[in-house]
Amino acid sequence: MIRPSTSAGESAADDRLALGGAPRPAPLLAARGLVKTFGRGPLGDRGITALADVSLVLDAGEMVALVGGSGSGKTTLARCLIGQLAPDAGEVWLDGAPLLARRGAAFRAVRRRVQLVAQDAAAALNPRLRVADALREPLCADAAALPSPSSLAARVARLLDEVGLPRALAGRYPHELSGGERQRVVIARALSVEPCALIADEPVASLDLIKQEHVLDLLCRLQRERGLACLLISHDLLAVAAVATRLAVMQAGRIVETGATATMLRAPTHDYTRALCAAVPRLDGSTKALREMPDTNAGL
Amino acid sequence: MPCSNSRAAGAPTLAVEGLTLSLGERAAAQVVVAEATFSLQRGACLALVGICGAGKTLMTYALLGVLPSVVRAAGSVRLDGQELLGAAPSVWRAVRGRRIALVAQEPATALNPALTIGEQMSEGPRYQLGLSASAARARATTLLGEVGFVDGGRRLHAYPFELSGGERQRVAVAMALGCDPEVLVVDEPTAALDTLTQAHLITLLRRLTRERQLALLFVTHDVSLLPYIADAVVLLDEGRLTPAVDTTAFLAAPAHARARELVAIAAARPRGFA
Repeated sequence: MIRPSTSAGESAADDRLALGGAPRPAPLLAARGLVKTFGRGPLGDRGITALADVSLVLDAGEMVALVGGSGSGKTTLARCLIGQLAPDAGEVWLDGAPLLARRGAAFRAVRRRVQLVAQDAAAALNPRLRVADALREPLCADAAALPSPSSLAARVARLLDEVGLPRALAGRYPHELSGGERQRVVIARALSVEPCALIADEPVASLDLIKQEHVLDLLCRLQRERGLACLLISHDLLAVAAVATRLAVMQAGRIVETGATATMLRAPTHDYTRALCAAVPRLDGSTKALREMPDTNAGL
Repeated sequence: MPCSNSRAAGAPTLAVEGLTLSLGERAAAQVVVAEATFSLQRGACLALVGICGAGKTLMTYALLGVLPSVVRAAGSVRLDGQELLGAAPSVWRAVRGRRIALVAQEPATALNPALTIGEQMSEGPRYQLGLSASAARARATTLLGEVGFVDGGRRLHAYPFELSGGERQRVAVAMALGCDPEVLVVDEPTAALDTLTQAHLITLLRRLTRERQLALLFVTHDVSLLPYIADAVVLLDEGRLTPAVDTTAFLAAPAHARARELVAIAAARPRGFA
C-alpha cells in the first residue's frame, strides 16, 4: 500500500513519508530510496536517471495503480521490485527482509512470491512453446520436486480455467492467440508458482476498451479470490483508477503523489496529477484540456 | 498533382465504395471487411471505430496500397476521382506518402532506429518532392515546430530511442506531413500515451486538420476521444462497416450493439474524477 501524505494540505511529493510514522507490520513489498541511472559513462556521460529516490509500499492483498507517462520510470521500478534489476541505491524489502541480499536458491525461493506480468505479452511468451508448455515450465523449475504428468495437466487446466481461457487453447502456439488471450496466458503463467503479488506492467495497453475491462475484472477477481496483491502499472489513469484502492503518480523518475484513489481523483495536489486528471476524456465533451490545450509544451 | 476542381467544399477527397477485403482463395475466402463504404472530406475528421481484430488496420493498409499479398481487395478506393484499388505501382508511388499518409500504430517500430529524426524526415520530401538535402532539412525543422517541438532544429539529430513515446508519436505525425498530404490516416495514435500527452496529440491533430485542410481518418477503439476530434463516426464490427453518423448522434444514441457496449464503458470510467 502506498501511504497517503500525512498532511493533506501540503504537497505529497516527499514519498519518504510513506515509511514514517507508527510501527506497523512489515508490508509485503517495500522499496525505499531507489535510484537507478542508465548509460552513465566513464567519459562524463551523465546518463538517464530512470529512478530518482523512489519509495513505495505494497501491502498484502492490495490493488495499487502506478500511473505515469512513457519514460517516467514505471518499468524500471517494476524490474527493481522483482529483483531483476539492481538499483544503484536504495533497497527492496520482501516480507520484511532485504530482497537483494539473498543469493542463489534463497533468492529464487522468495523471488517466486512476486511475479511480473510483462508489458508485451507477445514478447513474453516463447513462440516455440504451446500454451500448455509455457504454463508447465515454471511448475517444473524445481527438478527435485517434479510433479507427475497427470497432476501437471490438471494444474494447467485449472490455470486456464482461472484466467477464463478455454482448455482447448492449451495446444495452441502464442501466434495463434489474440492479444487478449496472450495477456491471459502470461497472467496464468505468473499464477502458476502461487505468488502473493503480481506486478502487471501495462496489462491493458494494447487492448480495446472491452478487453481492457475483462482483464481488469480478472485481476480484481484474482485479488479477491487469491488474496493477491497487485501493482497495476499503466499510462492510462482512466483505465486503472476504477479498480485500484491506492494510486501512485510517477513523473521523471519520482513518485510525485500517492494516496487513496478516491481522495486523489477528487482533490489531486501535485500539478502533474492535476493535469493528468484534468485531461481525462469525458464523453460529454466537457474536458477542456482536450479542447484548448496549447500544442507547444516544452515540458513534454 | 492537380486536383483543384474536386477540392471544392463537400466533394469527397477520398471515396471508398463497396470495399471488400478477403483472405484466401475465392471458394474458401474468409471475408474480413465486407462492402465498406465511406468518404473523407478535407478539413474534417472521420473516426473509424472498432475493437481489436475488427480489421481497422487492414482497412488503412488498403487506403495506402500496402495490403499483404494474401489479402484480396475488391470494390473501389478513389482519390479525387482517380481509382487507386489495383492501380499500377507508378500511380501508387505518386499517392502513397505524397497525397495519402499514414501514422502507423506503433511509433517505436514505424521509425527507423538507425536513422536520426532529421534523416528519416527528409526521405519523403527529397524523393517524393525532389527537395535538396538542405531544403528537406529546413522543412523537417518547420514540421517539428508545427507538431510542438520548441527545439525542432536540435531534435533533427536525435535518434528515435532518445525520444519519449509521446515525442516519437509527434515525430511520426510530422514525418507523415512531410509531403503535405491531403489525406492523413492515424492508427490508434494515443494507445500508448498518458492522458496529458494524449490531449496534446488530439489538439494537435484537430489544429492540423483545420489549418492544412486535411482529410483525417482517425482509427481508434477509444470512443471517449470522439467528441474531441471526430466530426462523424463509422463502426467496423464483424466485417461490417456502419454508415457514417454524426459524432454527437453516435454517442447519444448508439444504434449498434458494439457501439453501445463501447460507449457504456467509456461513460462509466470517469466516475470519481472531480
